[in-house]
Amino acid sequence: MAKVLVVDDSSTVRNEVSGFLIANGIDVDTAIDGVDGLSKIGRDPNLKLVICDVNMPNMDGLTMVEKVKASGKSISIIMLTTESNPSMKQRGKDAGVKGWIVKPFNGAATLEGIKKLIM
Amino acid sequence: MNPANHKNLATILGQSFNEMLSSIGKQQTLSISTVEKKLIQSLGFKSVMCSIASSSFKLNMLLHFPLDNLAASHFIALINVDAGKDAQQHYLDYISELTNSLCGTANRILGVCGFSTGMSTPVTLQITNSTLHMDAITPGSEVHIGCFLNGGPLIFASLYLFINQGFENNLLITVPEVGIATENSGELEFF
Repeated sequence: MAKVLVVDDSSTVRNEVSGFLIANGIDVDTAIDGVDGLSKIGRDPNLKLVICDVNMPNMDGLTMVEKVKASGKSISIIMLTTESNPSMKQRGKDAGVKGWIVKPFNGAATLEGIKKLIM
Repeated sequence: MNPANHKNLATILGQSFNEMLSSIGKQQTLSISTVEKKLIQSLGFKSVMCSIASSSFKLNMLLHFPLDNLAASHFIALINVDAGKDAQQHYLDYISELTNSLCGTANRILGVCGFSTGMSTPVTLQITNSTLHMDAITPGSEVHIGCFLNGGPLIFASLYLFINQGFENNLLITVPEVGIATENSGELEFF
């Protein structure tokens, strides 16, 4: 079954996003930073989509995305962040990020797009 | 320092604070106003800090919140934090995310005005009366705002500007003529 990984250092955001996805029948795992996220992406073949924060301790989200790309792993990634800096978005695009959400998370406005990415 | 900076900082803090409170979704029950720093100092609240840095200046944004008193119970009730053995940890994490939201909005406002900035993750300060510590590192300018529930203090925010050496006389912090567009917040923008 397709699974979504939610990577955010805030448990408030992890709970909010994963709770919404689970309520909509989507299987979810969570990670607390880029290091944890990278580890889970490498280990779980059922992951189809990663929803990832940018500003996190230990390893930020864009660095994690660049490492995923460098590893050759094919997985959809969207960023969920307070950032909307064009140069940061470009860095995400260059690393293969599929989309960008400016916090706060609006489940109803994103569910259709999320489902497209895990089909 | 350019005198417009103080007014524009107040605008940035006001917009960011209102945007942050909108995520709580109960603004109709709250009143918001600028406050004197001595009010914040008198409350003994804890603080979470987030920073924005550019090549010419640094902003420290602090969210001051109650931890163990009546105001804390009011705030916890307002935001519906899960009760239970980890209630305080959930509360602290929620406050950190609010600070992230507060600082994120300020960072977006600066981005709209052409500033190239970077933002830190929120840090919970282990001290009370953090404003005294900010005073000790002599900010160039500071503004403060508060939120009240039925007249009682609920949560406060401070914005401190530190201008890098060499930029004291020519830095102008600008703000957009209208508030930054937030209608796209929460929506998925496909690349």
